[in-house]
This record gives sequence, C-alpha cells and structure tokens, in this order.
Amino acid sequence: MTDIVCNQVEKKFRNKKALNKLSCSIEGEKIIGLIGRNGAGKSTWLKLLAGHLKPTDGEIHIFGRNPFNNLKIATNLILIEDSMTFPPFFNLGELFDMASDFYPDWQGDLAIRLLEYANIPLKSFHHNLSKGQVSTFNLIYGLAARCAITLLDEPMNGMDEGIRTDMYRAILKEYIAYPRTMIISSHHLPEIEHLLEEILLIDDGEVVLHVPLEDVNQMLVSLKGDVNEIKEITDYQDVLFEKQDAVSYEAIIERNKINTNYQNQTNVQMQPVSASEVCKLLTHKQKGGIDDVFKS
Amino acid sequence: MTVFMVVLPILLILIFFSLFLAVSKGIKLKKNFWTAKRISIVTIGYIGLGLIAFIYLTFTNNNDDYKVLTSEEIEQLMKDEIEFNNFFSQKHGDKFNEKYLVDEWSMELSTDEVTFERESEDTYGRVFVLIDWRNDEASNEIYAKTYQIPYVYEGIDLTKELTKDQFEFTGDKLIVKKPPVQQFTFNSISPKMEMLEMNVQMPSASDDILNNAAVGSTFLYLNVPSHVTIIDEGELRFYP
Amino acid sequence: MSLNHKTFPQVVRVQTKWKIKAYSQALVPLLILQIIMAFLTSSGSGTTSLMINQVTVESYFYSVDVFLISTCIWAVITAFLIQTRGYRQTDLSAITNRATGNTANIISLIFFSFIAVIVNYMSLYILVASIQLIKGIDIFPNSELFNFMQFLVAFFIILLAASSGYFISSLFNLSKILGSLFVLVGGFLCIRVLDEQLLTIVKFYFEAGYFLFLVKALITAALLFALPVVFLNGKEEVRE
Repeated sequence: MTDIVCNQVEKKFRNKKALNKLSCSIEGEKIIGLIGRNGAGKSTWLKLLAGHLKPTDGEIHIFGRNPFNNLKIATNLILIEDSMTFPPFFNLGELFDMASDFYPDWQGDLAIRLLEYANIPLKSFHHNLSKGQVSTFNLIYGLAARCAITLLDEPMNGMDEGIRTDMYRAILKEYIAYPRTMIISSHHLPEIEHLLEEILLIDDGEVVLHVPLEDVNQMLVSLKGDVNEIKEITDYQDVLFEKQDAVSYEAIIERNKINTNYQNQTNVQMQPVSASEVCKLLTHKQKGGIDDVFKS
Repeated sequence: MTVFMVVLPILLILIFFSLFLAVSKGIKLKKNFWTAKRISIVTIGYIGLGLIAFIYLTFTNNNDDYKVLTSEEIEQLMKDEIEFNNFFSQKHGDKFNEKYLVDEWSMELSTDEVTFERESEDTYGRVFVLIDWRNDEASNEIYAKTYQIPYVYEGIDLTKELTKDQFEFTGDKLIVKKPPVQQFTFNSISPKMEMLEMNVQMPSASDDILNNAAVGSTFLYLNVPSHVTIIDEGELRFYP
Repeated sequence: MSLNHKTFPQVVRVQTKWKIKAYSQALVPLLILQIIMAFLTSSGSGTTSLMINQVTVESYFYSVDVFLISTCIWAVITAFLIQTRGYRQTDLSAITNRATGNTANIISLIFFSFIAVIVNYMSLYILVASIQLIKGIDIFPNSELFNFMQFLVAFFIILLAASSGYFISSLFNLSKILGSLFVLVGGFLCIRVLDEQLLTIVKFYFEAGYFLFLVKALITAALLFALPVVFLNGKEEVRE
C-alpha cells in the first residue's frame, strides 16, 4: 500500500509558486532523504504533507486520506521543524508529560535519557534554550513520539559536530527499534548518507529524482584528462559539468551516456561522483562553477 | 473621584493587556515564577479565604441594635398605617389597633387651658393628635395614649432613634419636639448587580418595598375633660 | 506498522486538560485586578440616600458590580489572546485539528469563566469581612449574602464577554481586514449612536427578567463560540 501519494501538487503563495506539479509516491517504512537547494520547496512540501497547508492544485493522499485538518493523519504524523513552538508555560519535563498524553506510542524514558545525554536540564524552558539545544530537543521529541510518519525539516540546524553524530546514531537506532517512514530534509548529504535508503531530489518545486541511494551513487562519472579524448568518449553529448584547467579538462556526465569502448584505451581518469555532488549538479543552473562568475 | 475611578481601571487593563500581548507575541519572561501548581494553590487559597469570610459574615450578622423588617412586615405596617389614618379621620380613636400602643400616660393641668405646640414649623408632620372629650368636671388630667407605627426607612426600624423625647409636657404646654437632625449610615452587602437592578423593571416588587418604603407615624390619643380648652398653636389636630 | 486512532472526543479531552494548565497563567492578572478593585471600592460600590424631614439615612452597599466589570474586561482580553497566532501555533506540536483546537479553547474559556465568577463573589466577601474587621463598621444585619440567580447571571455575563473576545479574535484570524472592519464599525456605532442603541441591547437582554436573560445569554454565547469553529475549519495554520 502506498503510504504517501502526491499527484501534480501545486502550491502557490502570493507571488511565488513554491511547488509546481510535484508528483511522487512513497511506500513502506524507510528513511528518505529530501534534498534540494534553498528555496526549492522542501519545507513547503513537508508542511503540505503534515496538513498545515492546503495545496492550491493537485492532491495529496496519506494512507488514502487528505492530510489537511485530518485527525487520523495528525495522530500518526509529526513534523519537526525549527520554528516549532510549545506552550511557553511548561518546562521541558512537562512538555514530555503532555506528549505522553497525546501520542500513544510515546517513549518517555527514552526521551528523558536522551535529553540527559544532551546535557539539557528537564526544568528549563523551551524559549530559553540555545539554537542547538532547541534542535536537539525538537528531534528527541519527534523521535520519541514514534509516529508512523516522521517528517524532519533540517533537524540538525545549529547542532555542534559531536551532538550531530550522536543524533544521527539515535535516529538510526530508533528507526531499527521501531521502523517508520521518515523523511529527513538536510543540506548535509555526506553526513546523512549512511542513514538513507532513498533520495528525493526537489528542484524548483518539482521532483527531479526519486531513486534508491545506490542508484544515485552510480549515476554520474567524472572524466578527467585530455579534452578531445573526453569529447570522443562522451560522443560530443552535453555534459553536466565541465572545467578547463591549465593541465586538464574535467567533465561530468551520466554513466549511461558514455561510450564504453573507449574506456580501456585512453588515459582519461574515470571517477565516481558522490551522491551530494550528483544532487548539486542535477540542480545546477549553469555548467560552470562559481569560478565563472569571477572570470568576467 | 468618579473620573479617577473610571480612568484607573482602564489604565490597569491596558497594562495587563500589553503584558499579555507581549507574552503572546513571543517575548517570554525569563524566570517563570508561576507554575500550574502554584497558581492553583493561590486560586484555591483565595477561594478558601472567601469562604471563610462568608462564614464569618453569616455568623457575625446579628446586629441587635437595629431590627430589620421583611417586606411582608412592611406591607402589613403600611396597611395598618392606612387603617390608622382612616380611623383618625373618622375620629374613631377607640378603634386604634392596640398592637401599636406603646405608652399610656397622663398630663396634669394646672389651668383649664392646654396649649399644643410644635417645635418645628413644617406642617407635614408625622404626629397626629386625636382628641376625645369626656365629661369630667373633677379632674384636670389628660389621659394620653401613644400609638406608634414603627418608623421604617429602607427596611430598618429606626423608631427608637427618631422618637426619643418626642413629647414634652411642661407648664400646660404639650410640645412636640422637633426630631433631631440625624444621619444614619449603614453598610450592607448585596450579592446583586445594582446596576442591573436600577435599569431593569423588575417584576417582583418586594425589593421596592424594602428599599423605598418609609413608614411611621405617631398617633396621640388624648382623652380630655370637656371643660378644658385647647389652644392649638401647632395645629396638631387636623380635626378639632 | 499499525496506525493509531484517536477519536475527536479523546483529542478534545486531552487538549482541554493541557490547555487549562497552559492558560492558567491568565488567572494571575484576574486575582491582582480583584485586589486592586477591592481597594478602590473600600467605601462601598454605591450608596442610596433617603431623606425625610431632618433624618437622612445613607446606605452604603457593597456589591459585585465593580468586580464584575473588571472581570468582564479581563475575560474579553484573555479570550482574544487565546486565539492569537502565538497560542494557536503551539497547538501544532501535538495532535490537533482546527475543530478540536477551537473546541478545547472554548471549554477552557468556560472553565475559566466559572472560576472567575466564583473569585468575584469571594472578593466581595473578603472585602466586606475585612472592612468589618478593620474598620469596625457593622455590616447590615439580615442582608442577603448569596443569591443563586444573580450568581448565574454574573456567570453568563462573563461568558458573553469571553465569547465576544473569542469571536472578534477569530475574525482577525480569518482575515485581518474583516476583523479590523468589525471592530471599527462596532466602535463607531457605540460612540456615535451611543446610549440609545446600547440601552436597547441591554433592555433586550434584561427586560423580561433574569431567567429569560439566562436563555438569551446562553444562545448568544453558544453562537459566538460556535461560529469560529465553523468558519475557521478550513484555515491553514503554519508556524512562521
């Protein structure tokens, strides 16, 4: 059964189209990485999934239902984001008590232990925490809720290196203990790669890529060497990226576009491209890098 | 004073409003003194204090000095007063209701004249004198009976205060004393909204009686020997 | 992965419990306001004077009026603030739905109105008892200390105030233009057309006696509370 189905979803704000005919479908329990540039529409999409916003066109179905204003979806879905607010009257311990009343699968002990580990006192108040502590608390809150669909919008914002690695491990362990559909939106793909099963790449409000992680890793190759040789290997097709050094020429192209016959005969170096590079390149507007801006 | 009374609450309201607004917009107080438990304790304590005050007021509410009459009693008094007036105008002094007899006394005259005087000049008095003549050559005594319908102002029986030394008989003069200028201050507690009471035409008239009725008259029933002349300077008798 | 299922009443119950705790901070200004009002009206919230002949009877009475007015202002402001964006956004961190959120808000407002009316009466008793203890003025005997009908009327007045505040705030939520328009037009009407219309409204509610007032107030409050639940149901809610 497909859990999440988006069909030609459009979301238009006053002067800007945040999502443009976005379609995707997500099935089963897995951790999906939501990758995209700033302003691509990731947060908007997550908010639409959570039922905070209504699509201006198209439809979203979660477990067969429209998530907007839907109590059944709200019971099984949680969205964790930076701007999450809690009733200012309660301290963190009381917030956990509140959550235990709401979420049936709430892991109170785990949450308290995690918070202790992160050195955040239970008696402090949410609005008095530092940025990193806020992110940590929100993440612990989201994990301990054990909702069937957990959406994390840039959960590691502001966290220092140490706690970040710990939290990634916590996400993994929690996921193993209770598998659920998790969508993590992040800018730090290299850090998060080991968690992900699938990658959902969004650019300009559209889904560019929705494939398992291994596929992404194999998707592009980087060719380095002599210009003419590379041009031959690539059959003069359009490349995604090219850079001309004093010494050599580098081009990145899809693996399936290469003429494999040439491979063994040349000095061209072929290297795999990491997933984050792939994502960056697929959403890039120009062929050159930032150096081009400084050239002229 | 009234302007002050109006401005200050609004000022306070604005202060609290701004405080609340600040909280709602996200400026949160650094130190949160109030927790749910503390607030509930304070509120329950306040309500408990109120209940203690309530019990205290119920039990200390036995002011013996002034008697309060219920509206039924006041209605009855009003009826009786009307009855008295009727008998007075019909000169049936003997029909006066004995319930209100407070005093029986007599005046010894030295001469055959008796003067009635009134200390105050206002002609609208609450003292009525009825004369009954008797044929008695021998004595110069006037028998007097005082009938007192309680003076009730706003449900309070003020008779004692108002009828102190009402009559004075000296030197063949019967003087009706001027009631002293008195001011009584009472404090009452009313669990009602007085504003509404004033604006609304209440179907129940019982409160009106309690709040507005002012009854009370004194009837002096004199039994005078026929040979005595009465000089009524104070115009005490409406009907000679 | 099995899905959890929570019904509407379950969610409303949990939300109401936690909202009451979360909003209990609103009681602090109420209590402070009551104490301030008590000090301001320490000589009685009203007087009646009766003067007949030379006797003046002044009666100072203490009633719930002044406390009630301040509580109504408090109720309007609190209900208004509860529906502002800051508080509404905190709902999203737990299981909620527009309808459950609004319903939970309404139930907590009713609860707080009830606490407020009790606090009002307790303030009156505490004030009068303190006056009696400190100043030694005896409170009028036999005056009524508690009137159930008036208590209900006071409760419904506060409820009307809270529901109006909530309604206006919801209008602002729906569309800022509509809300400001409503407030401006309402304010304009109140000031220009003033006494006449307001008096008509007051008369409409209170004319036929207290019991009918309760019915009318109940219907009005229910309407003012229910409308936001209906027209806010389709509104988006985001944390900005």
